[in-house]
Amino acid sequence: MADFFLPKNSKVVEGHHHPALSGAKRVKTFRIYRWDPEAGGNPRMDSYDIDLDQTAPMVLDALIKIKNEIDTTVTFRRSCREGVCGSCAMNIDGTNTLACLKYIADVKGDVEIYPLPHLPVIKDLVPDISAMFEQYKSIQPWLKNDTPPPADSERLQSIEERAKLDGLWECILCFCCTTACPSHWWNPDKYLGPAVLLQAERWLADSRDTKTDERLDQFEDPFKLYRCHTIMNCTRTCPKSLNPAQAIGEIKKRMVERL
Amino acid sequence: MTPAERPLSPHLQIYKPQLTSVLSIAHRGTGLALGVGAIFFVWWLSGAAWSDACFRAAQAFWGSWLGKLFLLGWTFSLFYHLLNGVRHLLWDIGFGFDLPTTYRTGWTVVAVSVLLTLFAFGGGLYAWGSP
Amino acid sequence: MNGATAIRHWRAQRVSAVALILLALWLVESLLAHLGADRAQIQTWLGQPVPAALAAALVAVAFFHLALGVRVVLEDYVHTPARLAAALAANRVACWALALIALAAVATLAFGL
Repeated sequence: MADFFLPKNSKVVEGHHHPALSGAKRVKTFRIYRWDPEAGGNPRMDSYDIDLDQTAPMVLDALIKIKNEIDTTVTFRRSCREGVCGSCAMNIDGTNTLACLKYIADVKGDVEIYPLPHLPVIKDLVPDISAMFEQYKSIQPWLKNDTPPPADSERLQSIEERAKLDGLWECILCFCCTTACPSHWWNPDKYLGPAVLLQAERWLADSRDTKTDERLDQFEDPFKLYRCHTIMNCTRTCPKSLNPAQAIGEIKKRMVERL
Repeated sequence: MTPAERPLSPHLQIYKPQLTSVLSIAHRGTGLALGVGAIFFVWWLSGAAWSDACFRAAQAFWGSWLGKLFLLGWTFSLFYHLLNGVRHLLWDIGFGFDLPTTYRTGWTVVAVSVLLTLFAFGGGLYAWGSP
Repeated sequence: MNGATAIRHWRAQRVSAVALILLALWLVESLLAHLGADRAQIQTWLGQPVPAALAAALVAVAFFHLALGVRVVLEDYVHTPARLAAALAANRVACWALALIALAAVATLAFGL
């Protein structure tokens, strides 16, 4: 059966509480998923009270503050802090998003932070996303065209042809969408998931790519594409406001049209 | 030292229910409910075709308190699955994927299926009570 | 299920859904019109050609659509290959059996057998 429940070793227990420094006026509690591979045991929720008057506005700012000032062992990925690298993807307040784009003020009550859902946890908020990158590799995300490019120029596109890539090329592969998709939770090894399928459509829609038929051949499979049931959690959660569900819909249309 | 076996990060347990996923699982649930309803329908139809006793048993079941509750569930399931099915068909031909439209059509499906259920079921009860 | 079957399955589910929109609405309307009807009234109703034809189409398409839908659910959730094969076979047999019983019943009523 699909794993609807967490295995025994994955059940989350209550952890330590780190109270705010005295004199803090605007206190907000951050509850953070913790798991240390060296200590083992079950994951736990540690809570940290911080003074919002001393904190910049984003959830990532709070995480960095906690790591710098309260508990240096808190582990998470981050890099650009402006929504273009995709590193700080995590589950905040029950939905996947980028910590650097999520305002603390938008969360009512305690800020609950978990790693991206239904993935093996490496440490704390750092999940293993390598399987999804393997799936990305499987769609051969590069331009395929056997004819040589024109001798004196690049392969050109009209403005209209280029416009077809808008909404597709902007994806930063943060995998917020794929890990928000129940269908991918139940079949992570067989269903490619929204992020990878959106990338597949990015190459299908490219006027310079001539391997459209070959690319579509790989979706003649009951799982890779057709586990998408248009649940729409992907589109709902995308921190870049892209529309993976629509991209998958386009692939399904292509499949039927060539039948 | 070998690191401990990696835990699986929480998913269903922590992901916030939202209109998108709730309506989707409801589509599946109402579809399966209609499947069960179809079995009862065949029971009733077979009674009409072949057996007085079977037909009367089916009619008595619809008349019972539990039978009416089932009918209410199937009425809602049918309207919801039908309307949300149209929503899916529209997605399949490429309409209504943007988030505001998804939410608008979603709430419309819920509201209209509740209204149609009340209308059909209420009307049915009334007609049944005063033939 | 092999590749091309996956696309045909997807398309068949949609095509049967479109047919069911009208057939399901007809069913609701008909059942409301026959609330509390006795067996003789049902026999008279389904003894007419148009209602009998619509009823036959409804049960055939509905069980076809149901079989496709349940198959997707089973493929989603059942991961042990042997169990999945058994569940898919059971689904097939059950939907075929129910459809055939229903069609036989409609035929009996239609032709007054």
